[in-house]
Amino acid sequence: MLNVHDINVFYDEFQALESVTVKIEKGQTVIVVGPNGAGKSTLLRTIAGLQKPRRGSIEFEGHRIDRMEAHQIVEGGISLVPEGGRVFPHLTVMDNLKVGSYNKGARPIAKQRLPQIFQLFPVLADRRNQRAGSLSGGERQMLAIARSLMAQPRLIMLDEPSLGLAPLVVNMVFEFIKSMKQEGYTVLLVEQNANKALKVADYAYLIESGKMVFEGKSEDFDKNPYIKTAYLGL
Amino acid sequence: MQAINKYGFYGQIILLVVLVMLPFIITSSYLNHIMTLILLWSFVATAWAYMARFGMVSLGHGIFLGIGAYFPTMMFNYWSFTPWIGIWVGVAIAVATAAVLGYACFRFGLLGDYFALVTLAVAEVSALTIMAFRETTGGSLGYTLRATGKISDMQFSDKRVYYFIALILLIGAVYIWRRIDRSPIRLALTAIEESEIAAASLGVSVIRYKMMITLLSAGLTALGGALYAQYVTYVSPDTIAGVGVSLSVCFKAILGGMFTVLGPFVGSTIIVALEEYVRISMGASFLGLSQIIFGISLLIMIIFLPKGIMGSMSLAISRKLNRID
Repeated sequence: MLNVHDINVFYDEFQALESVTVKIEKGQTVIVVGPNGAGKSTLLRTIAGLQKPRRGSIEFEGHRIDRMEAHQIVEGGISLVPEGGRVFPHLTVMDNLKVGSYNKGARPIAKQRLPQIFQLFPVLADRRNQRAGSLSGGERQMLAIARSLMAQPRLIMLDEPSLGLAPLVVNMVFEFIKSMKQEGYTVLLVEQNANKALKVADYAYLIESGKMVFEGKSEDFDKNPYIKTAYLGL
Repeated sequence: MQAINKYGFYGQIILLVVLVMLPFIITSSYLNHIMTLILLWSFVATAWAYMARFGMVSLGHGIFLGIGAYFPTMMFNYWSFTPWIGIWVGVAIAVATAAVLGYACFRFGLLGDYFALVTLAVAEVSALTIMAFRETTGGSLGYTLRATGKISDMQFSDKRVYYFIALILLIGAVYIWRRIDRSPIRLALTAIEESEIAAASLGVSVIRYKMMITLLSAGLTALGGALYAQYVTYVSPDTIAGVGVSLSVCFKAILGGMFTVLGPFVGSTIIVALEEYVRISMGASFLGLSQIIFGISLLIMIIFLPKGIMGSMSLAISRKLNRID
C-alpha cells in the first residue's frame, strides 16, 4: 500500500534520513521505534508531504506522492496525527472536527461521518461545544485522532500519540489503535514507548540516527538481544 | 450570544440610518469632508483587518494604497484615462503585487513577527519607489489630480457623492466580512493561524487560503486608496504610501478592535476625529504637540483596551448577560 523507497531527507545541510525504506501492506499496523531525534517524525512528515525528500520515492497505492503538496496527499487518503496532537485550542471540538473534513473527498460526507466519530469517541460528543483548549491531554489526543479520521484516510499515521499522557490514558490510546486495526485502517505508528507499541504491531522498524538498522515482526524484535537491552529494558 | 446578536442587529440598523441621514443634517462642508475621510479609512482598516484577524498582521498595506492611488491618478493626468476604469487597473495591479509578495512570504512560511517585518520593508520600498520616479510621480512633494469637474472623470460638484461611495464600500466590506464568517474560509484560516502543520496535515491548503484572504484584502485596500486619491485629488508618499500610513491603518483597526466587524470603523472614527481636533485646536500654537498628544492617547487606549474598543465592549456585554463564551 505504501512504499517508501530509499529516501534522503535534509533540513538545510543536516541530513535527517539516509536511504530509508519502509513498506506497509493494507490492513497492517506498522511501528517505527527509535530514540529521540532519530528521524521518526521526519519520516512521517515526509510521507505527509510536509517535508520533501532529496532522493528516493514514495508511492501510495501505486501513485508517486513525494512531489505532491500536503493537502493533496490528505485527499489521496493519508492522514497524519502530528506530535502532541496539535488541536486548535481556540476552536470548539466540533469546529476542530470540521477542519478535519476540509479536503475535497471528505467534505460531502462529513455529516454522516460525525455520528460515527462520536460513537467511537463518546467523550468528544459530550464536549462538542467546548473549546479544544479546555480538554485534558488524553482528550486532546483523542480529538487529534478523531479529527484525522474525519478526513477518511485509508492510512493513518500517528506521531508519538502516548507522549506526555498519564499511564492509564496511554493504555487507552493503545487500545484505540488496536480497535482501529479491527476497523480496517492501515496504521503507521511512531513511538518511543517500544514495549507497548510492539504489542499492537504486525511489523516494526528500528531507526537510529536517520538510518533503518533493524526490521522484522514483533517477535523478532523481542528476540534481538541489542533491542532488548536498549529499547525494551528487558 | 443570541441576545447580543439581536441588540447588535438593531444597533447596526440604527447606525446605518444615522450614517445615511448625516450628510443631509450636517451642512458644514468641512464636517462632511471629515466624515467622508472617516468612512474611507474605515473601509481600508476593515480590509486590513481581514488578514490581521487571522494572525497575518501586515505593516505594509501602504503599498496597496499607493498603487491604488497613484496608477489611476497618473493614468488620468498623462493619458486622460478615465478613473472609472483606471481605479480597477490600479486594483488589478495591487492584487498582482499582493500575489507575488504573498506567495513569496507564504511559500517560505513567514509567520507572525517575520511576516510583519517583511511587509514593513515593503511599505518603505513603495514610498522610495515613488520618490525614485520623481519626474513622473512628483516625488515626495506629491502629485495633484487634474481637475475637470466632469462626472465622466469621477469628479462631482457635490462632494457628498464621495461620502456615499465610501459608505457603500464600507457596507460592502462589512458584508464580505460576514460572508467570510459564515463560510469554511473562517475555520480554515483560524486553524492555519493556530497550527499550520496541523492544518496542512488535515488537508487544508495553507497557501491557497492565505492567498485568498491576502488578495481580497489587498484589492479592497487599493480600491480605498484609489477613491481617496480621486476624492482628495492629491497624492503623496506620506499620505497614501509608505510606512506612516501603513501603521496608521493598523492603529485604527487595532484601537477599534480588529476581531469585531465594526471595530475598524469605530477606531477610524476616533482617530480621524482626534487627529483633526488636536490639529485644529493646538496645531498652530505648538508645532508637533498634536502628534504627541495623539500618540499618548493612543498608547493609553491600547494598553487599557487590548482587544480594542469594540472587542472590550462586546466582552463586557456578554459578561453582563452572563454568557461568557
